[in-house]
Amino acid sequence: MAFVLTHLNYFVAFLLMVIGLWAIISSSNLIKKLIGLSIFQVSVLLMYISIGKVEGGAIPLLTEKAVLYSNPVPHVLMLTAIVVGVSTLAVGLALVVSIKKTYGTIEEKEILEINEAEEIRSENFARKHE
Amino acid sequence: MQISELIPFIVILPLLSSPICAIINSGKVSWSISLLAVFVTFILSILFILHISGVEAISYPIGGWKPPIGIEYRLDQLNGFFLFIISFLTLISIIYAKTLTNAEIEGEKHGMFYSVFLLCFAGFLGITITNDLFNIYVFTEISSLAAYTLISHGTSKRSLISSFEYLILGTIGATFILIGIGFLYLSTGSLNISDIAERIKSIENAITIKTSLAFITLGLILKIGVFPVYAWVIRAYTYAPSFITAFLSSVGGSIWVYLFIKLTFIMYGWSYVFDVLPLKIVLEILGVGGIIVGSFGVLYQQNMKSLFAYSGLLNISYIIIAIAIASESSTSAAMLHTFNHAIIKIGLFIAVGYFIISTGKYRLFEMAGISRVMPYTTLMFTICLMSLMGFPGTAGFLSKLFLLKAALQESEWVIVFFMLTGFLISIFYTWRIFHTFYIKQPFILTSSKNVKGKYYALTALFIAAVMNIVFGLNTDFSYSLASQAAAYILE
Repeated sequence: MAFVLTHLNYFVAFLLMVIGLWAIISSSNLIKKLIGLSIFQVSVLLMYISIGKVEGGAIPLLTEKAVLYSNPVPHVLMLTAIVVGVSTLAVGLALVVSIKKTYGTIEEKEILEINEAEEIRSENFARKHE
Repeated sequence: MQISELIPFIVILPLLSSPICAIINSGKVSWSISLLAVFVTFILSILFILHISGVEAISYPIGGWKPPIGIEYRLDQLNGFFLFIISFLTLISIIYAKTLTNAEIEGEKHGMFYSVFLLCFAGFLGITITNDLFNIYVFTEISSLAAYTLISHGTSKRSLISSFEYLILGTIGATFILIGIGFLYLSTGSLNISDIAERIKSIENAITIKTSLAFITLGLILKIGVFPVYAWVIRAYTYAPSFITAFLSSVGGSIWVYLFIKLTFIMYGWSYVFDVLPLKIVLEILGVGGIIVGSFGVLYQQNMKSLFAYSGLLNISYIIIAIAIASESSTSAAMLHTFNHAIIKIGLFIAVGYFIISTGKYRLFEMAGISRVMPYTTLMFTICLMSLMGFPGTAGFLSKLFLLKAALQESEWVIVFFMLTGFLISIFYTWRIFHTFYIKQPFILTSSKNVKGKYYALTALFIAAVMNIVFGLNTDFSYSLASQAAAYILE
């Protein structure tokens, strides 16, 4: 139990990761998939920031009082990762908008049905003219 | 001027040309700028290759911050070879792009399209040249985000949904790589690959190192599109614009193979990954699975782009198996086949894209008797097809021979059996295509329309076809580069 409490950050990060993956796999709604993807990416941010914390370390600003500092590098890395996450979400949402425009739905099952029906129809059409 | 000062320009050049293309936003001018940027990159990569032979590595510290603190761009035998592959193939595809974007993309989007394409290209070059793990992640995302956008511009509306699928799985793959990098940073405290390679030796068996390897391998397997997770790659290649299919299937495939080789061989150490840990057998199983699934795919697919995407899966499986065997001959064979396969695939997809825009047909049976309508294009297509089959005298023959030889040397009989099966099946399906194109009665609807600016596509196809013969008859250049790279990574 003590192990879990001292490593709580990592357990939470792992839990978020699995929740995110589950949301991506289980939901048929494309927006929900994107939400799952965001949760999945955010879990990594939490993991990295936990890596940076040094026990008893001060915030990484040069002062005379502090002897030990936390590691600022993971934070800097995660700033970039946040930007990446935001842009991925933006591209994803833009795609969902155009999917909604062309298909009229954002439910994956319905889209697959439409695709399949169309594929069969066009193949039959081509075969007929063979 | 020293060669090391030129290293960052190979990334900066396409990265800076990209916003210029977007601002000008005119199809013709943006294409010329892209062509110029890609051409200069190609010249740079040749310069690099000439300078790298005989030297250990050339390093460039970004902003003057010495590695391992700062970000390092590092040119060595391995990525010199891959930079050449990437810029050469991109040069072919950008020539081809002129015809295809005119036919497939709406006029006002051309400038933006080339701009995003250059971003994707810059990302790929960045992954190749950088020696910093986090930099690799950032460039991965730059190139992938650009790739999602490019794929979604296909003519069929299914390109949207395949692009979405690509986005979800590509991001999961990249995030897995990021988690792996996190574990590595946690245990070594460094992000520089050469530095990590030194530090990792003393802590090899720590559980964090194993976890990081597991995450990175999983992420890269997703990105490459190896056996159990290949379907999304096939769909993306099938519905993307033809120019993007040609570009991604050749260049994109090579990049992830390169990254996998670099991380497993140079960073973790190949003997640790493939001998101590059971990754060898895992990759071999995945490779054999890929050969089986790919064989069924190529035999039953009617959609031409889908068919060649499956053949890509088949070839990637050979490469993965050869990497897993991890002997000197097998790694050089893997790299040679990466190069040859990329040349073959770019030629085939160029031809298929050209057939599609000039006849409007994309299924194999609809293209029956096409050789009578477009004899010269079909001839060049057939040369690439023969190379894919492994006909003696073409590029594909030699690399397949080397792959088989490497498997025989290590007495991997199961692998040899499946490789031979795969090679035999490739004879069947190339024959099926050949038969449809040349011998079958023409399909009534087959007629070609005159495509605007078709000479760009034909030039690109011609270069690809000639290269298949050149690298088939004269292997000195490609094979010496591949074996140099293999010797370098196995040191």
